Amino acid sequence: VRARRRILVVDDDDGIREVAQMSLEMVGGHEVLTASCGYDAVVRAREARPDAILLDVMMPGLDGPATFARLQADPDSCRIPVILLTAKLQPADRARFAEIGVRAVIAKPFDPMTLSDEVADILGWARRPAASP
Amino acid sequence: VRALIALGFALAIAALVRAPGHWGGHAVDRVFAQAVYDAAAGIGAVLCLWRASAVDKGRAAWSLIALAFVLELAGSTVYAVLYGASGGPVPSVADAFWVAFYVPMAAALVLRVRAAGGVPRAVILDVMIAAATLGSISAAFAADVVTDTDGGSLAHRLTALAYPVGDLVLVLLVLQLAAANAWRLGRAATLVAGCFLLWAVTDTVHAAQTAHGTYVAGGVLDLGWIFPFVLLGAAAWLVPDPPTPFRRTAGGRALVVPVGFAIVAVVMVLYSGLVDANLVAVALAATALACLVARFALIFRRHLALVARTGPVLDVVHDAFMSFDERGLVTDWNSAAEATFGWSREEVLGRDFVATFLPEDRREAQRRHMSHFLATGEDDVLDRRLERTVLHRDGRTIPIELMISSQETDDGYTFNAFLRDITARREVETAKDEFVAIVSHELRTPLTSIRGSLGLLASGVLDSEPAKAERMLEVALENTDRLVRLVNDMLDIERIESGTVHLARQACDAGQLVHDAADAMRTAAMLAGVTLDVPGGHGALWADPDRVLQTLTNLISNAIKFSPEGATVWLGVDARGDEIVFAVRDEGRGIPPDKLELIFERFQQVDSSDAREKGGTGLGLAICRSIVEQHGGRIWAESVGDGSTFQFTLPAAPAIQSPRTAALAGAVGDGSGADRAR
Repeated sequence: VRARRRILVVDDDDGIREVAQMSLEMVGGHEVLTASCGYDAVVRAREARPDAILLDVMMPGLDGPATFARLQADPDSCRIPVILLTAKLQPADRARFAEIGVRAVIAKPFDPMTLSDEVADILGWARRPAASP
Repeated sequence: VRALIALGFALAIAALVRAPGHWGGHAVDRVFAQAVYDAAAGIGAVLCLWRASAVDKGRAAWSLIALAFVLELAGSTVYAVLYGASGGPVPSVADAFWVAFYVPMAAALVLRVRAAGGVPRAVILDVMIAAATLGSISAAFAADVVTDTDGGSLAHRLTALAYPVGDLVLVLLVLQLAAANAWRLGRAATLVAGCFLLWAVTDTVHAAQTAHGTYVAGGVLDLGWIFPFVLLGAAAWLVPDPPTPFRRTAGGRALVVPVGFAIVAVVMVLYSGLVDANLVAVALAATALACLVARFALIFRRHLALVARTGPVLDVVHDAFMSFDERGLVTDWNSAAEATFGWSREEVLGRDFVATFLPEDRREAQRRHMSHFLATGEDDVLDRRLERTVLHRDGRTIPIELMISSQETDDGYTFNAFLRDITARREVETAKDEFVAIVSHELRTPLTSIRGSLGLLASGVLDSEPAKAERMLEVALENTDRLVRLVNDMLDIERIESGTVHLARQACDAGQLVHDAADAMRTAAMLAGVTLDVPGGHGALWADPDRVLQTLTNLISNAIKFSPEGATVWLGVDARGDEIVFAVRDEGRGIPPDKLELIFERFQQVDSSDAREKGGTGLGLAICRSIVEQHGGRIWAESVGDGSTFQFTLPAAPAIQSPRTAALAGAVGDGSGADRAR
């Protein structure tokens, strides 16, 4: 069943958050929630139970990996697949991210026209859900 | 040729297997012995000529040996023709040929010694020790010839003595040859050496027997002349040993030969001195012992000279220096090494460097490498710049750069290593890598927004949503501005720090600059609802006014950004001695103590979100610091309770300046109250 999915976008940068939201909504046809910090993300994930979380790595306070750890520790959010979104992609970082158990890493800058397809492929969703314009 | 050799051997063996009882006295024995002797010498000469024609190197030497054989043969023939089987007088014409034999033979050996690369002084001493000892033995047997006047005429005795002396010279030369080859003789050279030794013994016994009148031609002793020819022939026949590709000094083993001979010399001194009362033998043996003393003195002096030459130099160089021997034991250690590794020289000398300095997992490989090198000379480490991790005395590992060279000494190999602790360099490299990572992150972040918003706009998905399209355009624009600021700031800081920016220093009024900066920031302050409190102070400053203004506006801008609405930002300027102190104080959230220094580093905001949230680049304070430091001033932050104060110093204008500066200097302290802006 091709359905609209609910995705939580977590990024401290206003511009990136807006662009990612716009891309997932307008191109992917998904419902998008946003959070501008890790603490907010943990709360919103528990409340809204999104189908996936796009998580920035470099954030003040709780950074991406720390936020992921909290999400995993919470029985309400531990099953939600998490994809890291990062501008920091040295080989050492890739190895570190692979270790902590996120589903995938998407590099910034990303292409807003293919972002939702990329997410769909990673999570095994059908591309372009029915609600796509 | 092989047939001739076989014949020679057959004859020699035939001579040897004759029952011993048949030897001596009979004319037939004498003739038979003569025939075997001539045959052996002839075959030897032919073999040596054959070898001379077959080899590239050593042709002259083998030819000379052949010539020596021919002379020997000639002497024998002359003797037989002139005196027949009855025996001739001593000395005879034949003796001239036989003594002449030694000349080409010695020349051949000298050629071989030269070809082996000459002989160092230490080796000459070794040979002298051996020679004097052998001479002593010889004298113990044959000295009667000289001392006993009943032994015949002087000519007779001198002739008899000429042979053992000549043999001794040859033995000496062979020993030199052996020494020059690090006491490793090939099979051919060993046979030649054996040949001369046998001759030396035979001639010594012959001289003694002649002196006592007991020598009988055709006796067993004659075998001592015949058999060496067989040995020489075999030496010529043998395929030469392949040249040893790797030549190494035998280390401590080099001393085995001289010390061995010296022990014999001691025995000779005791025997000849106490039992035999043979002064010549004692003197020769004593000479051998004196040479041994000289030999050790040479080693010791060389060692002292090395220490004297290198010690002081090694202690003033900044690199650590360490030497170790073939066994891996540390033999030298300078003061820089003490500082690097924490071991004092006294403690470390004689320690196994592998176990002391290498991490556990590298030890086995290092030991294998070392033995492989000593066995084969193959190596891929020496004389190269290497980077390794080694152990400090306290157990921590330190990265080092090193270069090892090897040196051949009398005691085998010595390995010398210069090492440098590269911890600091590694840290710089790490910091550089981190900086590049941060910069790439800082550049990627605005680029992500620009790329994303423009991508959405270009695709047309927002065509039906003008409000959203407009918002995306704004995002692109804001982030483009941010990117421009970031690039500008990065270039700015780079230029200031590298000194490519020329500071247009001039006398200027500090108070005026503070006013100008406040004016520039007034709009921003107004928008943020922040009051700027500007003092009326003055101070004659020696600086680049544009850069001072840049620093001030940067600090004021930061203060406004972090001030809550309704707060005040205070500016201050004060002349203290030959410095002018500027201050910018806010009522913001303050700075944690551990960040007070760090915030002046690039991209080191108190909170990494600050830059983006407040529209900064994360480089503002780093630029301020660069500017201030280029002027020779200092910048620092203080934070007590609410709010923080940023202060920096710049040099005051010197007292005697242009008239304009003097006028400015006169105005210092002439305050006119606060100037408020809202």
